[in-house]
Amino acid sequence: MKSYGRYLLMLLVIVALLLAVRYYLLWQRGIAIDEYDSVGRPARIHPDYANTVIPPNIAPLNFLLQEQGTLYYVKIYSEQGEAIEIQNRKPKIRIPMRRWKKLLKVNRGNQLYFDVYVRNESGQWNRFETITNTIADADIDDYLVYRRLRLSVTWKNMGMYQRNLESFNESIVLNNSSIDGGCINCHSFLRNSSDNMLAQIRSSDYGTPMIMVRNGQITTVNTSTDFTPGKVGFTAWHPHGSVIAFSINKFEMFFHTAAVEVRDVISHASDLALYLLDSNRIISTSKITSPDRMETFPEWSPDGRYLYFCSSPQLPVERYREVRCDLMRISYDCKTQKWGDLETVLTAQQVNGSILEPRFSPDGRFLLFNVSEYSAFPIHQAKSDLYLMETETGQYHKLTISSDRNDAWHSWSSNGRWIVFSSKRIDGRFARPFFSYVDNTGKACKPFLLPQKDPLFYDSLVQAYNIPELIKSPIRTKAKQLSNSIFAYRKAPRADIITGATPGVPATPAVKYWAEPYDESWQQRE
Amino acid sequence: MIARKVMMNPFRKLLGQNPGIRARTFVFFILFFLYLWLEVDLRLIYYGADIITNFPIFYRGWDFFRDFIAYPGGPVEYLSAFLSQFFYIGWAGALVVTLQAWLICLCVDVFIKTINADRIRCIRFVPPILLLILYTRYTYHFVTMAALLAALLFVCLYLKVTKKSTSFDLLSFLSLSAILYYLAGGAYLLFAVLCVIYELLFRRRVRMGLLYSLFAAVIPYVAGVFVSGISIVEAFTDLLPVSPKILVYETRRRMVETVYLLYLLLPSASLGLGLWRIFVKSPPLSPSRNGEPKAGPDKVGRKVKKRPRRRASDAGKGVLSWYFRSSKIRWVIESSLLLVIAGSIVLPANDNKLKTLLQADYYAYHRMWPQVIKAYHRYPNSFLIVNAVNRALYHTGRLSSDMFSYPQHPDTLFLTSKEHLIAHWKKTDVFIDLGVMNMGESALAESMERLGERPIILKRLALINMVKGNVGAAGIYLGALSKTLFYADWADNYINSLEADPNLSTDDRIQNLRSLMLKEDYGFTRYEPERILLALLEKNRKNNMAFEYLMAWFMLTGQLDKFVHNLDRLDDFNYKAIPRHYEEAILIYEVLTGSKVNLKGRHISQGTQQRARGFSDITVRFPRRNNKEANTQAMLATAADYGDTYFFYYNFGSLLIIKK
Repeated sequence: MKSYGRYLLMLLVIVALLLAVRYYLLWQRGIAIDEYDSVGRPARIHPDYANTVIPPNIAPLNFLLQEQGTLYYVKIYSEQGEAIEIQNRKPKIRIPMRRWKKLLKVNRGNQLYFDVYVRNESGQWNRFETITNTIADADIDDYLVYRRLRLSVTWKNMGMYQRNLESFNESIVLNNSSIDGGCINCHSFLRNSSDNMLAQIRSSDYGTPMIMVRNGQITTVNTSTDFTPGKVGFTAWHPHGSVIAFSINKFEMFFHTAAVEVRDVISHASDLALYLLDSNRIISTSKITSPDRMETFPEWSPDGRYLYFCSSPQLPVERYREVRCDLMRISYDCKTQKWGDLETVLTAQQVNGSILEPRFSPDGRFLLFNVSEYSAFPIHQAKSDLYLMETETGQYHKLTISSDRNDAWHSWSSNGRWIVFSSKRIDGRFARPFFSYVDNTGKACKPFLLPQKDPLFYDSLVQAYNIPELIKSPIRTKAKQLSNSIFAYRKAPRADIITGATPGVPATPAVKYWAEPYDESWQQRE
Repeated sequence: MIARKVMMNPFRKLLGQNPGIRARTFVFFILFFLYLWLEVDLRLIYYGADIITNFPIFYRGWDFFRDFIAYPGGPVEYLSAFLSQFFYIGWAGALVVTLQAWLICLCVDVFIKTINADRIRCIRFVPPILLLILYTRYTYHFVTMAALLAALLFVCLYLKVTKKSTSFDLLSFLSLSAILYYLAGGAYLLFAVLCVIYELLFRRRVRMGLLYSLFAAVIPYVAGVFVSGISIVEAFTDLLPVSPKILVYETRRRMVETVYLLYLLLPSASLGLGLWRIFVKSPPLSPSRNGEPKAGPDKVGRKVKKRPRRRASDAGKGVLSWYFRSSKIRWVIESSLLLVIAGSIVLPANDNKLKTLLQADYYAYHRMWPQVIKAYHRYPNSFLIVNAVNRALYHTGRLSSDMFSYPQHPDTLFLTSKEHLIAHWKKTDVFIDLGVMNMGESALAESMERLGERPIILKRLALINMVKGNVGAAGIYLGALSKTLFYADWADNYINSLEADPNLSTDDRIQNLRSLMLKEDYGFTRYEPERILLALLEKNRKNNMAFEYLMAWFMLTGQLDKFVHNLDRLDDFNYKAIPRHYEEAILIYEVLTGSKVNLKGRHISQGTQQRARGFSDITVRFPRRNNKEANTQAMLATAADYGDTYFFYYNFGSLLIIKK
């Protein structure tokens, strides 16, 4: 009797499986919609993946149809290749990965169409106007590295992650919970390569190591010297890879009583210096360490001859609304370690705002920066716009892709065709990564949001993305290795500043500057 | 065959046997449940008052689940996070914990019976008692307890499936080890230790025991370090009470010693018993015909006689004969003894101060003002409770007339001192009630960083952003909240309301808070109550809370000139008379400055004037200039009759309060 029961159970399972397979096959085959009413507008989709240019190697742009209905049918097609048909009782449209990739691969440079049909409660199909996107010719770098963090000032769960843009795979690079909190500062890469990267740590327990991965080898650099506190903020690799420009910022967070953005940042002091990797030395010049001015956001010109940066007069916290940075540059010769003269590239007055985060396109033709009403820390501004300057002519303009909210932390892909930036355009508070295609003339196309497997992913994510950086291949260094290097940091030798300042640098002013007034000024400012 | 069946199902056997034991267990756990529900009240742990920092968050959906299945111990953590949410409902949380305790008790019993240790069977009640102590002390160790339970269940499973052949036993151990390590992480070690003890000391299979020991070391290393990529420390300690994830946090390691005891109880008891048996050369266990382990032949094959039970002495026999004869009396005595022992251990362990802190927070969160004020009397010397009491007094219309009935200090109003720098959660609701939404938002953001994405925090953040008109940000918080178990309806209602009317123009609470909300924007690095409160009144002269807090601030900080300067604002509100403490402050000001305050037709009540005279008559008897002793005497002489007046506070300050 018992064995009969077992056979019966097996039979039931088999029948159920067969039914499931049949149902699946029928469902996959698609349906023929012969009769429908036309709706004179495109369907509302969320996120907004319409009229944009997308990379041919991007993960499926899953979306939610914001239309009422009982059945949804979407046909995705281009000029070549097999169309993808999806039907669903729910408005979530998840595009099959393989077929999507195949479709995009054979249609570089072509249009991509989404035909959307929605069946209403009375059984009538409605067809919306076709949504059109363009598949770009140029790939985007395969990986995106970013920080994900909550909107607080005492970060207990701040993570640096990398996301494969061809799929939905995200992995952790380093999380601050593994080092008992603290801040994982800005990360930067040498020419979009994960082989050479660095990130700065600010931890009450483990100090302020600069973690550097060079050709796959991890080292921690102790950037604090007798004359400089080690709180490195923003960094930029010299194109040759042997020098890193960095800012030393003494930030203080303050709060707004009634603004949309609760937090804001003022820098009580900010200077620039160079770290020479091969000799473990830090050098600088009084031209970029003026106590009366705040120098920040270093960026090398792609030919390596100029160090660009942002600079404003040093002001007390009460005058935070007057902080407006100019764009400046100074020439530097890596071989002779000689500094040139300071030059003002663009003034705050010219753009009527504070110029921040200059980033060169890899070919050096364009300089992308942002402009906010005030501040030397744009991410906490309610509004910040992206600007593009043509370096040859010095002509600049506000990009039309700028939103009425905050767009900041931008960077370029290795081929110079894509930019990525953090934007608060969706909800005004949580920054999300957006991509935009930039054509040969410097025209940026409508940006699109980093796609996720679940199209509603961002709708409940109480974390912000910042410092998105595109890299060509994944970071292979494991989180554990990085955290171990931080644990071992106490033993790291300090960078040599005295000897580093002498060769090649006008000896008298530099040494004198570091040794006396600089020290005093820091003391005062502490 | 029948015997095999019985052996195969120890639980059924246990449940089916001896109704007396069953009844005792039932009574014990009924009382356990009632105590947890009615006395401990697990809702207090759910809300946590910024004291319990490791209470887990739980979201519905695959994405949240996926994170937990990626590492050893994740499944137990996920299940614990889910079950812990039932602490939100007092009785449901108590039921979950009772079931957990009962299962642990059952597993211990099965193990003890299997090793033929009936005489120490009573230790099965030790884990529930220790568990009760953990909750009585308001600690959250549910996850480690769930891991303990998982390990014990697997021990029972091992006892059930083994004893067939050596290779089968070894295979069973390895399979169970792999599964358990994935489910419960480092708690697997408890399973391994118990299996090793069982094999070495009770079944006397030395090689098997040593092999198991080897696997106990290898499995976490291979599965944890190599397969899952976690650190060696995590591989061996995750979900154990010795985990650095518990020990490095002061708030998490509270009562961790009790958790150690829970983990060590069965291994130490069985180890002691096993060694004792070896010492007295008792034979190893072998399966009997009915499946029960029994004494077998000794090493040389001689049949060992069952030792006669030691008889009670003749005198004792006479006295105790009635006890042994009547099973009912025995049941009553033993059960009473159990309850008395349990009660005498658990009741003194009660942490009333902590409970009061948690209650004050819970009541304040739910705006149960009379209960907040009542809580004060159980723990009067706490800044945090007085802070909640002040808010309760305001909302019951008593702040300006009764606040000095409670020990006050400038810091009790806003918790601005260094000691309360991270008491973000406590500050939140005061800011929201006042209309300083950004300060509330900032405090909540820090609370979230400290406590995680708890629904009560998400709810507040959603509310603030709705008040501020940040519909997009409010939507994100509501979206997160709609994935929780018990706040989804609230969130969904607001999501729908926002879709229909982003302004929420028919929502009275939102509109009221919006009318109070500070509009003037300026940056600040340090919270300055006076500036903020004046700005609030500038925005809305009818902001009663801002007015009363401003006046209270001036009184607490002794800034009577500013206090008097703002008295005109009384016209903006419907006070029938000048509030008592304001009268007292006015009289002090008049005495100090020798000038008369223009009260615009209002007058100081006779009662206040009489109290002023009475207070003055006593204090003049103690010339106090630079004389500490005279000051103390004056304070003691006036405390009984005038301790609840501003006269007293102004003269003697905050001596009654101990900073907490």
